Amino acid sequence: MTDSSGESALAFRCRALSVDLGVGEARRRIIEDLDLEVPRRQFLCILGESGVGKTTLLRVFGGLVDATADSVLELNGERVVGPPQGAVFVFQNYAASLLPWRTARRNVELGLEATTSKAARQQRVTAALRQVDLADHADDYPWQLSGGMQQRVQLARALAVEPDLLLMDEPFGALDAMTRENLQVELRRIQQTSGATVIFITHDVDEAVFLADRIIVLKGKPASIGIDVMSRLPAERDQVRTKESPEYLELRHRVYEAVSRRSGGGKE
Amino acid sequence: MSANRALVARPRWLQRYRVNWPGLAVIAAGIALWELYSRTLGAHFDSIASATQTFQALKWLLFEGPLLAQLLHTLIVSLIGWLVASTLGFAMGLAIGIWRPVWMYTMASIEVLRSIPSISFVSIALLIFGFSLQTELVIVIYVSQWPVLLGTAGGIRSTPGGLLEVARSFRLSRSATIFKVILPAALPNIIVGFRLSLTLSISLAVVAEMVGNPAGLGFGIVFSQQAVQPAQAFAYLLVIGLLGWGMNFILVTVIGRVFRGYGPLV
Ligand SMILES: Nc1ncnc2c1ncn2[C@@H]1O[C@H](COP(=O)(O)OP(=O)(O)OP(=O)(O)O)[C@@H](O)[C@H]1O
Ligand SMILES: [Mg+2]
Repeated sequence: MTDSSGESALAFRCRALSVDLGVGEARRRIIEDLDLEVPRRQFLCILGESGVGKTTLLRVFGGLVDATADSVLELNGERVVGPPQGAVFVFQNYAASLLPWRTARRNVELGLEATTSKAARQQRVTAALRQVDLADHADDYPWQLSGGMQQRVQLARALAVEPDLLLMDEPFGALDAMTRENLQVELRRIQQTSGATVIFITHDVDEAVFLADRIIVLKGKPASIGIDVMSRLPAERDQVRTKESPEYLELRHRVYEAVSRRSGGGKE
Repeated sequence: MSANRALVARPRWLQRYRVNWPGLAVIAAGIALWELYSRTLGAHFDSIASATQTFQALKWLLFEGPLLAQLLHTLIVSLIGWLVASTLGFAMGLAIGIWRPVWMYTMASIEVLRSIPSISFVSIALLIFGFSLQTELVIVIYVSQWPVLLGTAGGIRSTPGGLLEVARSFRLSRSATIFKVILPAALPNIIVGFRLSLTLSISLAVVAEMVGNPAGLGFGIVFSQQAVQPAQAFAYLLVIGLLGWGMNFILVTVIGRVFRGYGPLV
């Protein structure tokens, strides 16, 4: 293991990864024979049409769902069995992921309670809530917050544990355009400074192109990798300049083509 | 205007309880109708006491009769019975809800036992324990454990999968998952169980006193019936109703204060 060279070390390695879901008669193959290597510190975006298996793949990466027995799935050289240390989810369904009896602050604390002293916890929770612009709502309960605010609480809960690996399932889907763009910049900045590996699912090509170091499009039933492209954008991203750059437009063009080709793919 | 001032001057904790005037008006009207009926149409039925007779009987029972001791007896028995039943029901419901095998092995028996009408256990308890306080307690505890048991087990089993997944993904320990996620999620169901159980424990204490243990309000009402004292029987009925209402009110108030954060959940 060449563990010391942070840039090139692998975070994820999967070989011939297949996933079956459902019980009995209804059991179906959702993902088949997927090979993928994700280096540490990479910001990987996964695109694909609804129902293709993006959430399923993310849950397999996070150890919440098992792959088939002959699949190989390793994180930092170790087989993934159950949620790995240092990995944290931001779930697609925010309403079902916050504890309704806890305030925003107490929700964000959840991941820190076993590991961090009370004082250090308070500091990190406050910082995380500030990052998502919710410092004023720390003492509100989820049912007092809008959908977008609830999703930001979930995001803060993930950031507060200072994860090595962030698994995000359409985290910005419920947000308005302004908040969304601000959080994209913020997330990218946090990823750059913390050196976390991010696997980010989205429906939105522009969001993927803006955020990613690398983009994968899933396609087919069962799903496998359609295209796999590296971004040539500079590490620093900016909502105005990045989106005007030729690299951005070129990548956007390629990804759009790949995403729309799958719809006509069956015929020609 | 002066009423408004009085309201403002009330202590803080009292201000939370608004008097339900329309509800009180209906009760007052009911009493008035009852009085009217027993003085006119019902005047020749000796077995129906008027409101005034009932209140006079109540006064006599309270100051010269055995009412206070009987009330205390029923109150204490149903409280103790409820506490024991809640503890037992909660412990068993917890075991059933948390350990899948326990659920599988016990649920069929629970369904059967629970569907036997609770009154039929009175005879069994009488056979075993005779006319005694023991009979009364056993009946109260046996019957009122079910709502807590089922509420706890069911509440735990229906913890939303999304929350369990959050607990798993944050690598919460088994006990942290139970105390921080599963039990709070089940709490509204458990509380419904506590409330049903309280109502049942009062009812069953009275039933047991009527047939199994010659003490308390239940015995009082049977005694007045056998002595053909309709006014006293009505007075007992009133006291039993007030006891149930009062205890439920206290429980709801306590729950409301303890679990204020639950907002719309409880
Ligand atoms: N528990 C399950 N049992 C059987 N099939 C399932 C189960 N969960 C999901 N599926 C199927 O797996 C497929 C992929 O689902 P998944 O949630 O991963 O899609 P997705 O790409 O995340 O879609 P979306 O973009 O709409 O969130 C779907 O076709 C769905 O029907
Ligand atoms: Mg999904």
